[in-house]
Amino acid sequence: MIRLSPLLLCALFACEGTIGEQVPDVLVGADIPEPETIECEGVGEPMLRRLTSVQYRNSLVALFDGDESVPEGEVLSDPARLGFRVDAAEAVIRDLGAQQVMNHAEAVAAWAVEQKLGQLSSCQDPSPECRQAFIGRFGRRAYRRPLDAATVRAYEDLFTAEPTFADGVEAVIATMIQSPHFLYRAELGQRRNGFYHLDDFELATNLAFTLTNRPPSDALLDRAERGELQSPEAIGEVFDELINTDAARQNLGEFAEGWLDVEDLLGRAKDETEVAFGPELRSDMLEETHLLFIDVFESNGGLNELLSADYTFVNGRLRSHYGMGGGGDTFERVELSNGRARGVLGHGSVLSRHALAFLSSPVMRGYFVRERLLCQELPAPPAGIDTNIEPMEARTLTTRERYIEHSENPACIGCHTLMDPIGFAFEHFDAYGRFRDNEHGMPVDATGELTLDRNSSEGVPLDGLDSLSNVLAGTEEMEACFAHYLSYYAYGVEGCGTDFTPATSLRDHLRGVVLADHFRMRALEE
Amino acid sequence: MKTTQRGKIGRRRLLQLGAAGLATAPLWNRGRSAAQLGGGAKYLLVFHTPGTDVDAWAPTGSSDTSIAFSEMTELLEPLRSDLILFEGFDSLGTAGQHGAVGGLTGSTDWNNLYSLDQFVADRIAESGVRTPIRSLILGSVPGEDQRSFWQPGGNPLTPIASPRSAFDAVFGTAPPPPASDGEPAEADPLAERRLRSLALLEGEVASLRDRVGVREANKLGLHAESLAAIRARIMGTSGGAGGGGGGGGCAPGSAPTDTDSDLTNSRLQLDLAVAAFACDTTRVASVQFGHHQNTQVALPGIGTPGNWHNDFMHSDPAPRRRLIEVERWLCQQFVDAGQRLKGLPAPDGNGTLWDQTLMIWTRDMGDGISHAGDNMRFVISGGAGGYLRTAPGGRYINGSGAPHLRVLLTAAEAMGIEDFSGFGDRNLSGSDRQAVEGARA
Repeated sequence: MIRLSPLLLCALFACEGTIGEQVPDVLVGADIPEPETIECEGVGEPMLRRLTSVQYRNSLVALFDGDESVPEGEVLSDPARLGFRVDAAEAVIRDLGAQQVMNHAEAVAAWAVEQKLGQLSSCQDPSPECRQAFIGRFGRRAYRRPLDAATVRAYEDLFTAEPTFADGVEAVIATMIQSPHFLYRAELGQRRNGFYHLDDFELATNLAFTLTNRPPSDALLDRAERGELQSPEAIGEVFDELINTDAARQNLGEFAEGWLDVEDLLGRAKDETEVAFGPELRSDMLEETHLLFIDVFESNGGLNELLSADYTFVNGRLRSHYGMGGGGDTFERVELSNGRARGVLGHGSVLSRHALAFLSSPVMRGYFVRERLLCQELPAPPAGIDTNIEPMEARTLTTRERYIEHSENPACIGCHTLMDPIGFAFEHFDAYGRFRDNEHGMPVDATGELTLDRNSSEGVPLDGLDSLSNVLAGTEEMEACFAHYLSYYAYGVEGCGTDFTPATSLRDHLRGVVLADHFRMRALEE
Repeated sequence: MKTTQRGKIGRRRLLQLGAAGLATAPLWNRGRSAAQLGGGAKYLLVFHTPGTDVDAWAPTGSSDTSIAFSEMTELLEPLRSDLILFEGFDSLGTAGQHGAVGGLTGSTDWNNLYSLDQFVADRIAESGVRTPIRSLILGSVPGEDQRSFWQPGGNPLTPIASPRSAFDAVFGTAPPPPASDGEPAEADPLAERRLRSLALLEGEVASLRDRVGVREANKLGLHAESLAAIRARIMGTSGGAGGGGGGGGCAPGSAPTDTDSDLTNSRLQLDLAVAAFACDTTRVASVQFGHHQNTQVALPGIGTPGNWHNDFMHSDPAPRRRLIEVERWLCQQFVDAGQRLKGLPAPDGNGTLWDQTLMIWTRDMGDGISHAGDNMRFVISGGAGGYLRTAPGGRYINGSGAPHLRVLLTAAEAMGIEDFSGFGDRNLSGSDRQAVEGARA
């Protein structure tokens, strides 16, 4: 778990009272305390990671040569943690879970025999060679490695207990989909020189799922079968191949959403009385963030470029929302204008997700920077206080002034001084991510302060969002924090070391994840 | 003899459910038959929803023996004489947020999150009662993070959202009924195939368990238990009537069709829970209506469709008409479930399912508008084997700040559990860890 500064904890818990704007509604609603889960110090233990529901679906589609018509089903659920749904500890199969898998596997098998029997097996005769060929070929994909002789025999027994070839195929498919070798990613390895070293098939599987959220292709399994994946150079080659696929781009976008904690933007509470903020616009905002992240990644940029980009990607709807005008249905790269702030912090997704339903929130935005960009975790606010902020009838104060007013209360100042001075730098952007230079005719003051060293009272002065991005981009804290979230997304556990240096490109951050010791080996359990 | 060891269904409860208990019950408790009371079977139906607008919900003017329904709760009227409304119970910081983990656990200790349904199901199993499914958890919104139901050890349990999927899971592997002449049913090729498949799968899981450390072995252990339960259901060795329904009320019918409405799906799940009780497939069922953050509501009479949390709680101004209408709809579902229980014979033939069932409406938090858990509300009903002290005008109990854990313990006690060790906030003691006195007959 990310460690929290004692100073920060102390200050936050000192915050008590019932002042109206103390704790924003949306913050309370979403940031539920989470349990401690698996940690690893450098190299973790051997693991079996249950597939996520997306990986399960992608694996079924891959089993049948990319046929997307494979039956859907409510099978696996993915507990959410840290904005992602990848946790290795919480994803299990229990209670009625195996029954749900069985029911779905049988439906898939029946569909496959009815729709694809001819493609699944070129022969359909009762000879041992015919059924063995099917079992071996299908099993290699399902198990993501060749079946050993005992496993083939076990499946032959299943097959031959059925009255017809088609029934045998159906029984084998249904069982293979339920197999733990299909449902879990094995990261077990073979013991050698004091560590467990993942074998070629385990490496192929983890490379594919880590980079594309999909199982390894037949070609990658071929390489594994030839024993070609043990060296860092070989892993690097596979990385370069897989990372340039659409599946990898989609995967990168999903990581960016989780890291920036915008993945639930579609469901966030927003007052749409005066501002159109429908699902299409929200999706556009997420797409903007996907596109910039991928663009920086593919141009070998790093966090500096991600935070300082003087361009973005917008379609007509987003242009209109940003007050930029023009554009059509497709996203285009444009230079920033009309007050838009640089980089990803200036995106509508980040600005609107980290805000209240109708009001910008220096608290939420400061909290976001502390937790997501600097890994200074903050506990949930005290329970039992009214967290709603009523719309101000008489618009006589700016948002900043409202927060400063109540932050002067001694009961609250401990909390707010840690977040508000950062959040004030976002104040040129309202709850919907639109630029403003005044609120109700009153000029916006976006000055603030960022204290990177929590043990110091000396902060870096800020004036506007660009200044915050500039400060953050060069910090070791943010580089390490990004690596932390990226490795959690890849490994499903926190704390496993990855290789990176200051100003590492996003691509090299991810390359470091697959070249790190934890990706290739595991420690012996004590 | 009084059995006090942890996990046993208390002897005192058995006695209480017997004739001696009946003799001391108040007249309001309208005496169940001695045969039924002695039957011992008990069912728990947990009806779980998000927090609400406490001002709109409050039954202002109610007394100990008379409920003054609010507009939000008035559709509970048909169950009035079997209702207890609880108000004024404090979650003590465990249920002050949307999706708080303390609503059903009475705790925020991550190593001790144990929801009421699971605590009761485990105690029932430990008492020697076997049913094909230990507990059913249904409803909610698929794909959303689930944090309501817990087993100790930090594993949240995920409700099955799809009624079709749930039906298949609950009734899909029941053994075929005996032929009308009493002879065993003919061999079922599908069941035989499944058993062969299970043998292979169980062998693979066991083999993998030998290769991993303790934590991963525990993970595979859960998988192995899940597979073993399928086997038991197929072979009809899992206990309970298991599809036979000795009382005659077992009629699962055909699989329901999933709808586009999560709340409608949850209503179908409530039907399924009752059907599972009637077949003695399980003794504990929970149905979660909606999700604390992301529930789209589109129901007749509700008004403009919208998001339960975002729109109905935090955008609509008071009196929050859409929230009131959703709660009225929920009241109707609660009542309908009660009526179905009343119309079905108990699997053991002792009275109706209603007589043996405790229904409890729980929430993740108290005040959903201002995010507070210091005023939790519950609705309890059902025959509950004669446990509840009822009144013709309905009953109202104000906890005056007592821990809401006490209401959860009331449900546990109604199920015959005396030893509450391991459940709820361990820092509480004395009367804070006792059932609500006034609820007991």
